[in-house]
Amino acid sequence: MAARDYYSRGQNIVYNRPVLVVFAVIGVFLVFDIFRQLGTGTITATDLVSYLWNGLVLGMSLGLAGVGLSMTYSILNFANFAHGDLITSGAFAGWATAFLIAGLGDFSVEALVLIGGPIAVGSNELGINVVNTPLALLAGLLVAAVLTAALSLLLDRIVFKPMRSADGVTLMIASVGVALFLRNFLTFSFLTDSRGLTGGNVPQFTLGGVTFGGHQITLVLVAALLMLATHVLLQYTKIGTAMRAMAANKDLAKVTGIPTERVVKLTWGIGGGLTGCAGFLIALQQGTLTVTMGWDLLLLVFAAVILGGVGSIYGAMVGGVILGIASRLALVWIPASFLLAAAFVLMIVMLLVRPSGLFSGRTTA
Amino acid sequence: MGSVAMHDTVSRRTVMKSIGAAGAVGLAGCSADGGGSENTISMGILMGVTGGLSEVGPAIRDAAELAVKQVQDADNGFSVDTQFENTETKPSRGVSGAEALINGGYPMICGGLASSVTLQVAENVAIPNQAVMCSPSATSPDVASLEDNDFVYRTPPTDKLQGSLLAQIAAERREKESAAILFLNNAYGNGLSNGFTKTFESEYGGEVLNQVSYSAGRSSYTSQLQNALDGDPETLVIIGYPESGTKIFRNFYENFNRADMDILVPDGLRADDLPGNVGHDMTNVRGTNPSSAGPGIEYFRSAYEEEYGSAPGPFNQQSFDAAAVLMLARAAAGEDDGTAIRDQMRAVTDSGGEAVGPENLGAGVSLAADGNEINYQGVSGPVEFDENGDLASAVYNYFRYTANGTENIEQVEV
Repeated sequence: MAARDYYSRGQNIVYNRPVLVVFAVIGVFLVFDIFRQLGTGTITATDLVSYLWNGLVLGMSLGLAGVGLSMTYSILNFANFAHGDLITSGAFAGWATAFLIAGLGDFSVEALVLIGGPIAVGSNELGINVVNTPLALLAGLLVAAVLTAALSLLLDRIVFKPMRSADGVTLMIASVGVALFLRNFLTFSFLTDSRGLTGGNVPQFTLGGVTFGGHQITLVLVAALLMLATHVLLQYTKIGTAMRAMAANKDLAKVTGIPTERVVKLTWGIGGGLTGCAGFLIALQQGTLTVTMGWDLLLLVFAAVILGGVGSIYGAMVGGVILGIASRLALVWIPASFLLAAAFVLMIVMLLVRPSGLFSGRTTA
Repeated sequence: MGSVAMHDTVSRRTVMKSIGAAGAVGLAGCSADGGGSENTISMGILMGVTGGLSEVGPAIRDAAELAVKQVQDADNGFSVDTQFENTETKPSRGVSGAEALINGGYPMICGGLASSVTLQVAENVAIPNQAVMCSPSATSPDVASLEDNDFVYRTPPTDKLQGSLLAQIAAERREKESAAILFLNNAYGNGLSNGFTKTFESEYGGEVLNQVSYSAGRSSYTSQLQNALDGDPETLVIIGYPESGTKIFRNFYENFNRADMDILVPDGLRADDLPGNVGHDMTNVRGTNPSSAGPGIEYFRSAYEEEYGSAPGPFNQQSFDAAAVLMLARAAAGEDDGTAIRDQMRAVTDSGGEAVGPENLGAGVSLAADGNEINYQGVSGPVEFDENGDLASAVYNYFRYTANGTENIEQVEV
């Protein structure tokens, strides 16, 4: 009897969702192919672990950067194109602080606040890394979070609040304008030089031939902590409940007496803070910073958020990690020049199979 | 809240009004210029001062404007009208910027900088509109093969020469038999990569194990490096600009235990602040860049330093030359007409006639206008165009990175 049930359910899937079945077969085939290549020695276990690790690092940065984007989407219902430049703003704010704390006395304040750039501050002489200057980095992280949250609130007050009743497309276009403004403001202040940030002997661990960079580990750990904190906030606090209520049904939330405008402000604040942290940590891991950092990343962050389910915060986290790992694991089959293609193919497949993403229907929570 | 909101609306409207008024004034200012008399030289400057070339672009622009200033300040009855357009190192922005220049009535363009931008601008704007173009830094071999009716010139040598020079250095001086290339996926990167591969394999019997391309603005280049280093090549050629170069070298020193591997780079990756930004000693890196030492170099250096307070950087000499040759050709042509200017480009550079250099550029312009034969002596070396509008010969620096900058090892003529 049970066997027949399974059989007819399987039959149903094959008839009703042939696309799903085809992709599932391809997926299983790829997994087997990895084991086959491991068996024949085409790739080594070391390669595989290093692909997975690098993918996890990229994934955690995408996931953390995506949480803020997903939050504003679920509460305010628009795709915020200024998100990439909020990431960059956070990185610049945080690193200016870290430079100032680490180098005060040795270099001019002006050079430090401008993070080197045209005035040479050799990143090696400053020697910022997690072991040498943990306090400077911690302060940088905090400042990045606070200033980006403040910037988000300010932008909301100036640009988005007067447009609260406008539809999503109008808000999206406004956010493109904000993005251009932010990027050009940063260019105006910091110029477009690509600058080195970290220096000295950055600690790293080698386990069985795979290198785990100290700053990669820092990014993964701090990002995981921040994600956990977001989860606790959403699930176990009053404000989290209010946010979830508002994401589920705005009008109903209002009728119930939830102060919607306050929730919107908190969303910008918390989302902005997480975004600032993401920018600071990504710059720490990359070791370099340019004014286009966030914008270059934005397409991938969007892909991660779509993969996880637009508007779902857990979706953004999981989507980021899946996308990161998939894009690095693709090295097993394709050359490094086309890695991004693999990430976006995965996103397209997800849109075909499950258009609303992995965590669809679970707005915010 | 209500009253605050109302006050806001009012003030916002006032602000909008004043912005609108300012915009109208700005537009009125634009429409006033354009057009020119016989003694006004109109030259468009089309360069990327942001984007991929943001580190070197602004100084290249300064050098071209120094040439303009020399002519402007000289007491020769000529004035120069220039308009600047920023390409952001993007072909699409380059094309729209060039269109703005053509619409503004400029018959010649000093620029663009990146080969990819220059090629698109030449094909889509300059050649169809019969405007003369002279690039101070486009080095891709593809520029030579444009069907340009002789409208496109450049003052740096083509990468065909540099690609084979790098191959020669890898094979003869560094005695390498295998190499891998990591190159930026654009006209510059492709041109150099193919030039290197061709010479290294056919002339020196070496083997290029991997040719890996990359795009600018990625968060990490570890995977690309991993691909390139597959099979343990003896040397690695990295082609690109400092923007991605900083990240590539960081990834290289952090994730691969091969800090002493021989690396070769072309001119795009010669930047004195690179070791500081990479945060690692880069003494394993050597490279080549077009030398820029013609007869007027000392004069140019001091004039540049006096004007801008810093030493000239890469392609600055070529930029001065490009602007100077264009202005001389325009003076000789006597009118703002692209075809007439084109016909004078070789006349003012070929040997024979009055020698003109940076120190007497202003006088040279009036000499050329009076119909005298002129022989422009380039700041960057001999400027003499072959049938493609490329330099007939070129001198390169072979350099290496030191702990905190770069130094020349020797000069090589190709």
